Amino acid sequence: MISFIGRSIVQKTVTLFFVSVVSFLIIYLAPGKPSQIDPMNPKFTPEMVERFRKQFHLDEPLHVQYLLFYRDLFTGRTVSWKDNQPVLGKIWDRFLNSLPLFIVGTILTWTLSFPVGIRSAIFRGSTFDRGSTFVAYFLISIPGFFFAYLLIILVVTQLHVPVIGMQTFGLGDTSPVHMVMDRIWHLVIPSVLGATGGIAVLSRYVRGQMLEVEGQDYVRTARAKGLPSEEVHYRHALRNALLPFVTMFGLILPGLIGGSVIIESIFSWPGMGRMAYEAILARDYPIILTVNFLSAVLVLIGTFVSDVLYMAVDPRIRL
Amino acid sequence: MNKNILLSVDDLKVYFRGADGRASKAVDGVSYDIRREETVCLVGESGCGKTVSALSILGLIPQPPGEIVGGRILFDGRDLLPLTDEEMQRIRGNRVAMVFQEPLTSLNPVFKIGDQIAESIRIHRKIDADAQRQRCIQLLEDVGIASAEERLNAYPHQLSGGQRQRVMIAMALSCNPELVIADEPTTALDVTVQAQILKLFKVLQQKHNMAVLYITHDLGVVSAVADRVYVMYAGIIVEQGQTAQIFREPQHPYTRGLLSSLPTRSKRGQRLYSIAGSVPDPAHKPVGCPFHPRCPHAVQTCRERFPKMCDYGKGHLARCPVLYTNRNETA
Ligand SMILES: Nc1ncnc2c1ncn2[C@@H]1O[C@H](COP(=O)(O)OP(=O)(O)OP(=O)(O)O)[C@@H](O)[C@H]1O
Ligand code: SF4
Ligand SMILES: [Mg+2]
Repeated sequence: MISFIGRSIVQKTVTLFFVSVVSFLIIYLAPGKPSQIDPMNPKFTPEMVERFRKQFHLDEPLHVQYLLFYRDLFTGRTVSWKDNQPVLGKIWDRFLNSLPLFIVGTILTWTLSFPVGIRSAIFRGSTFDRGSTFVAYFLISIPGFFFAYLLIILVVTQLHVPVIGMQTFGLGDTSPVHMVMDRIWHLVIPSVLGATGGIAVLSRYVRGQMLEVEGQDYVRTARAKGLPSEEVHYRHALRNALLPFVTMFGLILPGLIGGSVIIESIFSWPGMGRMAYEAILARDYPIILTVNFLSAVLVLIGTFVSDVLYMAVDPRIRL
Repeated sequence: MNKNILLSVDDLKVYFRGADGRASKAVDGVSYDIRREETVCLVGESGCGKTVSALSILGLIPQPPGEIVGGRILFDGRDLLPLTDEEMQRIRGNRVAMVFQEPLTSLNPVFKIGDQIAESIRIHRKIDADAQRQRCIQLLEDVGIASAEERLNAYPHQLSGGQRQRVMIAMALSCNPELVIADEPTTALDVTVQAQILKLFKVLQQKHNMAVLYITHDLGVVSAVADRVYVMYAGIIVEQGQTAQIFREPQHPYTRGLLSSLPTRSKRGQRLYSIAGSVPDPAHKPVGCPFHPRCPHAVQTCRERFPKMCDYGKGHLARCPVLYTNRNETA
């Protein structure tokens, strides 16, 4: 166990190093320049461009730029080229905005997909199974932005509930209860929308996994022992069907820093996804690289968590 | 009805509906009896419907695609087929237990074997956890697993094939069933382990006074364990009788074919005989005697009429009217 942890940390550090090099190269070698140093940009005089190049170390050789960038990142001195704000602070603010969406979305996804998928598998071919299959494929095939507008029309015109932004504009000094309710209402529609695709896909996957396990010999053995069908399904079958999802559980982590550009744009939600998108358009390298680095870290932590969880739940795996 | 008969399968028909809507007649009118404390062998080539007929007894046929089309399964005088699943749960593992062919896939990989054995005791007997544990240890010792107490905490993948099958047997015996169905329990094991498991079966059967329905395609195993034998071919019984009758005076061409494909000392060095052709697909069975495409004695009537059982006396029956008349004519 200890040796497994040690090995993991070494392996993952090496991987992280390669990720940092490759992502740095890709971004610097991609065509296009940050607007501040673009000679075609009429807003900047050649002297200003020269100053920016110096400030951003753009005239140094690539490997020096690389070292300078990651030195600044680890000492927390990286600033956005666009507004000179510290990158980590900007990301943290946006992260806090995205977090509620992420949490509500994830909870919705995981708490709905499993009961639906498991029930469909156990009562295969039933009305419930066929109904949920239809809804799942419907949700998978309908484009998210289109579905979003349908929902907005419905919710705003029928329920008179506010949906755009994180809170209703100009809601200065109302009671705290009212404020909280307002925030929650703003949260509901984007989270539900963000979760639908996930619910549809995950519930199909759960169903497939459960069906496969239900056909295994040990499930037949469990029935042959005279166990009641609840115990057969929810103890013998489910325990095995859940194993692959334990791996997925660790992989939720990177979602923390993702955020959906489309949903955030439609709902004017100032989250991570939009920030990253805008940074790419502005070629704000420090933001892009930092977000990229942080998500790599989260992916690696996520896979590590998955491995440990897998070991905990599957007795056949000893690392 | 004979009080001594524990299980009586009567004209059982189990069909599987295929994707093309055709019924695959896996078991097509099978009857057999098992007396108390008797070992009965069901023997036949792969695919002839042995497992399906055994699973029907416990109500474990997956429905759909399976369907029990007709017949009765009388256990201790009561028909099991109309029972609800809850009523069957009280019989499964308690009065009738089953040992499966593949011990590796038949044990749940994520539970300790102690828990898997204790489970059926917990369901069927009202005893506390400590008594359950003692019973598990006792059972593991009975089936010959060393250091039983430690082994309770082992997972299936930590045991050898033979040990896993011993665990399956312990599981089956846990509630002292009156009938144990063993579906090719040694097929997945190597030969020496096979012999040990067969011996274990005999010992346990005498100790626990249970009846055993032993399913196999191996006639060598039959001669080692069976009191009586039913030979199955393509979903029907083609011959039945005492083990000695079947081995000394086989009356059906299929049984004779099976016996001449057995390696024996007198045939050492010769090429082994094997029956030409293969078992028909249960969705496309030949009309008349299902064995006729492979039968050296087949005549025209065999291709037209389904053969009836012919009585050779003392419980020895064979489904081949052609050989029956030949014998009576030459006699
Ligand atoms: N779940 C199922 N779905 C469809 N057909 C089935 C199913 N189970 C069994 N069958 C059919 O029933 C027939 C008999 O199968 P069965 O398993 O009883 O054979 P068997 O005599 O036990 O053979 P083996 O020695 O290979 O175990 C097979 O030909 C198969 O086509
Ligand atoms: S009835 Fe005919 S085909 Fe069938 S076993 Fe007898 S001789 Fe062969
Ligand atoms: Mg079988």
